[in-house]
Amino acid sequence: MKKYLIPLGIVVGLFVIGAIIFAPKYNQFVTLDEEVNNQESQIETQLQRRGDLIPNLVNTVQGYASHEEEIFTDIADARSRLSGAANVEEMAEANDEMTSALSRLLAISENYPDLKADKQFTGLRDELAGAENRIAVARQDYNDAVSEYNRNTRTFPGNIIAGLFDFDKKDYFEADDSSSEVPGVDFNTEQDSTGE
Amino acid sequence: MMKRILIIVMFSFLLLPPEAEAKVALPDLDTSHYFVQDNAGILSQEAIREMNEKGDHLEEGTGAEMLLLTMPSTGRENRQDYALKALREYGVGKEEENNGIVILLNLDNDNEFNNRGIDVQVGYGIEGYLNDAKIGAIIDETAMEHFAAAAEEEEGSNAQKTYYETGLMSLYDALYKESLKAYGYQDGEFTRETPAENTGSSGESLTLFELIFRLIFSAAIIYILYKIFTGGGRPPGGPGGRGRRRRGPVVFFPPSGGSGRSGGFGGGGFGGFGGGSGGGGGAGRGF
Repeated sequence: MKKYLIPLGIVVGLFVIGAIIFAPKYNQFVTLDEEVNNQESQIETQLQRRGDLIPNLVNTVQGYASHEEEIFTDIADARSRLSGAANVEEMAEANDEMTSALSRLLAISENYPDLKADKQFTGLRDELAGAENRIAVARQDYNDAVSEYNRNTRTFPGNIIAGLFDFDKKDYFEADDSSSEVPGVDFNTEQDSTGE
Repeated sequence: MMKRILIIVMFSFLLLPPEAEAKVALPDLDTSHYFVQDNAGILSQEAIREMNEKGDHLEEGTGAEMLLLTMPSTGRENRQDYALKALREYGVGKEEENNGIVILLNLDNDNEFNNRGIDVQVGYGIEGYLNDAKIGAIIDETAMEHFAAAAEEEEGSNAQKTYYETGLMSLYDALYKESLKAYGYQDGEFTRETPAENTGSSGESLTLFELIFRLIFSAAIIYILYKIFTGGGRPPGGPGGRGRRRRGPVVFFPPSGGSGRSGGFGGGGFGGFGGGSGGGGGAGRGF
């Protein structure tokens, strides 16, 4: 009788120790996972916010500069790509495209003094700058959350839990390197100023 | 050994300067006037006192916290990033309401960021009444002409400081009035003598409630510990007998929920920012 008790005790003991170690870790994963999801929806909210501003902005600019057709098509393209994005990486790429198209739109508007003086345009420009900034902040917060989550999927004992319960590594919100063309001039000044 | 130390020292010199320049840490808060942190040294005592009084007044009446931060340089960081960092790390605004406002004036214009300018960042709770376009318009209407004039003056001159001061004071005042209006107070109706009812956990009444709760809580713990150490049912003060030393009272305080006024009694001065946050709303102007 006693012979069986000792191994049984060991098994139960191991089980208890395992539960003590792993249960909080599992819960931590759930929390981190939710945090990442929450931050992702934050990005989507802020992208939506900017998206809602665009028709107004385009209409205002068109009133003064209707012949700058190229930029308007670019914005429309970026917009449809953004709404069709299937995952975080595509979303990040489309977002970069949109940001660049919008900054070109603002650059063009510099050529139209009447437009620059327009109060409504100034307001829209502030809203747009704010929206871009919110996106940047949401993106940073999302990437921080992903980094925390991914770190846990790779360190012990998190990697065991992650393997057991399918907590996969998550993507950062950033464009693929090959798709973003960095102009050479910017790159050089960046290098010079950091003293490398 | 010496060689190794030398190498380490050399490397640390190589590593430090660019790092220090890239990120300028947030300065410690001057607690004698929380709401005005003049790190650039451009404001007169009079101006600091006046704006801080308004900030205090606003916080007392509405719970909203408005910080004016001037910086000689924010390094290689964007103005709005730095202002948001200040908002989040100082925790301007109440934690539950995120009703903080940070006004940042950065003077450094020497690097490629052309970073000199003004930026206002607001917490989530303020976005409702101060949207980006409105903040931009307020900056344009109240402050930009003064800042533009300041930019024309000689760097560091008194004339320049005066222009900055005038601009900042009129901006601070405009945002102050806008906030009071949003919380339902028109000019004049709201005074120090008739402060608005506090909302959220920042109120004195709740602090009192918390205090009573804590007293009861700690009394209960002391009682339980007393029971354990004196061995159950013995009458208090009776012979101890077991040679166990009586412990001093152990007092546990439940963690405070981050309320703005620490302590809560005596004085009633502002005790520190409440832990608010924001998501990047606001507007700014370079000049």
